[in-house]
Amino acid sequence: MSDADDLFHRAPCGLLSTTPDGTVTAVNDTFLHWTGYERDTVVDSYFMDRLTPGSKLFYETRFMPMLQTHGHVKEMALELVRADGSKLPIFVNSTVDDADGNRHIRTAVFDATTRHDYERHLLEARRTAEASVARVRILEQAATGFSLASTEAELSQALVQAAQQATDAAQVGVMLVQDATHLEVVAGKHPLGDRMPLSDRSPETEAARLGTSVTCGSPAEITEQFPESAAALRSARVEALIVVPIIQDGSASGVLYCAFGRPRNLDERIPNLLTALTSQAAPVLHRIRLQRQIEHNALHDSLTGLPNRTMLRRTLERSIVASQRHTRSLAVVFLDLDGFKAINDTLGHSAGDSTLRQVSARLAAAARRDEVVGRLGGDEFLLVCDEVDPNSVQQLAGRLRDTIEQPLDDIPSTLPLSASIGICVFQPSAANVEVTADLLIQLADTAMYESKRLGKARTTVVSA
Amino acid sequence: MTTLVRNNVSVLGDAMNRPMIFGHGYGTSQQMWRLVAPQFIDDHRVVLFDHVGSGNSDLSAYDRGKYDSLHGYADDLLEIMRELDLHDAVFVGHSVSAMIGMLAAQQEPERFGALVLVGASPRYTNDGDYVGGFEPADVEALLDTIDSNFLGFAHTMASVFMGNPDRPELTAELIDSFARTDVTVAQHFGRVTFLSDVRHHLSQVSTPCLILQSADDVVAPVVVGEYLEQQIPGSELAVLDIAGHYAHLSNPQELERQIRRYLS
Repeated sequence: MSDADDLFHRAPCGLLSTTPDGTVTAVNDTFLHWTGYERDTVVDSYFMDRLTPGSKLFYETRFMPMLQTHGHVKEMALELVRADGSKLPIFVNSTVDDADGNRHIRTAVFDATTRHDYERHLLEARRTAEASVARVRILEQAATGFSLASTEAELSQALVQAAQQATDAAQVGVMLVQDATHLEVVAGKHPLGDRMPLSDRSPETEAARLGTSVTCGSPAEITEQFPESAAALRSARVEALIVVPIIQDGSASGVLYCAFGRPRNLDERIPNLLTALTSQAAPVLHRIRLQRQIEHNALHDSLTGLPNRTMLRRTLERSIVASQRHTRSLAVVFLDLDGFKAINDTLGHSAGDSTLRQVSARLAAAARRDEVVGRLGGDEFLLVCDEVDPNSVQQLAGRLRDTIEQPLDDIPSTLPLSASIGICVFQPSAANVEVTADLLIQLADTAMYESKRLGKARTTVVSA
Repeated sequence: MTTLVRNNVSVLGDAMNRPMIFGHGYGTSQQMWRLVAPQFIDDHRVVLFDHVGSGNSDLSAYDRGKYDSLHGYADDLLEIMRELDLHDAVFVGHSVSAMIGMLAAQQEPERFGALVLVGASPRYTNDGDYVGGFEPADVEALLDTIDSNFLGFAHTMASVFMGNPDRPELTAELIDSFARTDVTVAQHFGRVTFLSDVRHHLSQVSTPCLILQSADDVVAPVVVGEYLEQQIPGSELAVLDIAGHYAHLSNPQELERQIRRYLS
């Protein structure tokens, strides 16, 4: 045996030659010795047949394309199955060799047992580290997004973004409970529509009603748990889903849902992360809702729900600016009830409150969409009318007085109600640029007193 | 970013001819069709493309939510076909592209005249009586192997880029980041490819369908080809006496012959 043969067979690494499709044509003794196979078993069979299933997949879908494209691959980690069934981690170098006019693939195989174990630990440590870094980053970004949110929509959008990053879901959205009867999409998209009654049975309503997460990892699980939604979800390409409730004060104020286009293993990691996100979002949602309530209370009358004096003044200030910019008229209608004191004194405060509420509802109904009606206090109301025709304000006043004079529920006709009205019509000109909301209200108030003085239940119009 | 740039689309041959569009498999690019596609240029309008995340596609378009299922890829295929106004096309799909083409044909059947499925599998993992050939643990092992081979890939790509005077901007650091992205996408696409299950779509295929399976393909065994033939109405299975998963590289002539035979 020549020295070259010796070198081939007794080299400190396994050596193989294969055809381009991977059929082994030559193999050295070292390879056979390491793996325990007979030469006849290895030669004329595929090299790939000696690999574990995971390595086979890698070999066919990554190794071979790389080798075909680049002509060589170096230090690829694979795993052999020995004749006795045990596994041997290896490193492989392969080169395409066309030197003699025929194409061969020359492969060297190195025993990587020691490095494999070592790198296995490194890899696991790196993965654990990467997973926790990714988790922290998602939670941090979400926290920033949440703290910047000042509306339900902004908060929901931040939650959708974070959940999208955490899951790679095809469709992510947030639905909030509205009117205690419906779930409504506030951010993201829902495969089956924007609004669903809480009484419907679906993964989303189930999570909201029970206050617990709903998870379906495959179409079979969806069909089993939600037979009524299965067909619609399937045609919307949903093959797995998870819905996590947003819990506030013990009940769900909404849900975060993630829908996937393929079966997914929804083990602990994803539900845990999504629950962490919704627990972060819940107090922010609470804060946003409280703030909205406080703002609403500050600008509305608690008895009638109408805009209060502060809001009426703000509205009027904006209307003055608009009317000056577009040179068009506006009217301020000051309305004071006649006969209200008698109702209050005779029937008591609760009858008085009922009267104010009924009058408020009627005025709100009589006002056009672009007219703002509010309560200044006591039995005084104010309407701000943009783009008014100065000649038609009497008609408007007539409409208001008429609606107030209609009989009231629970109030006897012996205690009739009417309205004294004062209207200030503002027509912008160079002479009145300094006009203020307070001035217009005061002028309308004075006009109203003129109506009172002239015998009530009438209208006085002045100009500013 | 137009669809055609995003998917690195190449169009060859006369626009008057019948369109033939080739889809590449997992881990590869349109390059894999280099021995087959040119054979059809004389009598077809040949369209080649790279899936987003593969080949020379635009990596910035890789949206992990969109590409978390094969539907995202099927939507891209339809966008390309709409952009080029293709009708009655012959779609030749290898490996995962075969199922992507099948999903697209179901969405807009009028665009497809024939499907040629090469080395296809509707589900790679075994499930009850169904034999896909692999266990979920094998797929996890594949993803592990991709991870542990990050350095090997970076090295191989480096030797390609480094000797490339057209790309002086490519430093070792950049190559490392390319390889890293490549590994991240390869793992995600690997998960989507090998853990998908599109069996329930097969019975709804209305396009004439040729199934080509290699006699000994580990990734898509013949028994999977037989399953496809049973499930896809009116389909035809041909088992090729070809080794391995890459019939289009190992015997392009046979592949061309089979396609022409089926179309005639």
